[in-house]
Amino acid sequence: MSHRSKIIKEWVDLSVTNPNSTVKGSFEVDKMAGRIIGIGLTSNYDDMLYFRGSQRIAINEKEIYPDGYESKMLMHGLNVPVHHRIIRLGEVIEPGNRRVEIEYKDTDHPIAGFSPYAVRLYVYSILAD
Amino acid sequence: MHIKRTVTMIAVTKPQHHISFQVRHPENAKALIAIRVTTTLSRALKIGVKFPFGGTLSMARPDHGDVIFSDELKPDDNTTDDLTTVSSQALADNARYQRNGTQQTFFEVYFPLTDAVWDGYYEDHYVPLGTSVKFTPLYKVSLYLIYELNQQEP
Repeated sequence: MSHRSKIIKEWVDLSVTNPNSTVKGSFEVDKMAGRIIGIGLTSNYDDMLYFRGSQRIAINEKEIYPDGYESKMLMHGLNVPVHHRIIRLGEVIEPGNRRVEIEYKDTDHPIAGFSPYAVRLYVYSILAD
Repeated sequence: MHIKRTVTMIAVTKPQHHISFQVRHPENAKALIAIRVTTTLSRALKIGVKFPFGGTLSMARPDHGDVIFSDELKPDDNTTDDLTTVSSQALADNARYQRNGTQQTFFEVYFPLTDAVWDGYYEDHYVPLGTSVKFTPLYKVSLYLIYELNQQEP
């Protein structure tokens, strides 16, 4: 019996170097991906992402998360098991042109003063049969 | 199933601010299947106040004249006691609303849509405690809705 995972985990990194700025990133999911099942967001400074972040995410030119969708809605705490750290998309997303795009927006928040930070968007796919 | 997510943002700009707004549903939406409300309000914004303020967000269907969802919001400082309480009159028996660890989850419902627009109402719960307490005049409330669509958007 095989215990190999059929989940492909890929990511794109963004660097937020200026307050109240918008940073864009994109990549193409693996050619072996059959469908996209979920995403996740992390940062090297969780408080920055939690309080200051929002983003728009599109896959195959379909808007999955609209502009203004807060990053804290897509984060996981340490007490969430690693294999549960996927925000399920809730619908079948075909990779199509395989392009994943994110527009991340940093916004001032009084209890999270700005310093440069990094944001990583994970995309989880299932291997094609 | 095809779904669509929307975000409605409300700016609270003064103490005891009462705000009426409208929630316009997507044209091809079949049903509302999940609701979540968040706020940027933080306890750190209210120095000297020992108990948290917040507000209540409600939604009503105009053709029924009843409030079908309301959520009492507390300040969110990203700590373990920031669990949002629910005082909901949701129609769905199996509705649930929780955090899975610290993963944000939605209040799951199933409201078939017969109206293009729902009414929304937000009420800030600020209670003045004297002249030394200053209200930070701006925070944001975000209403997240997830819809089931009749067909996929082009």
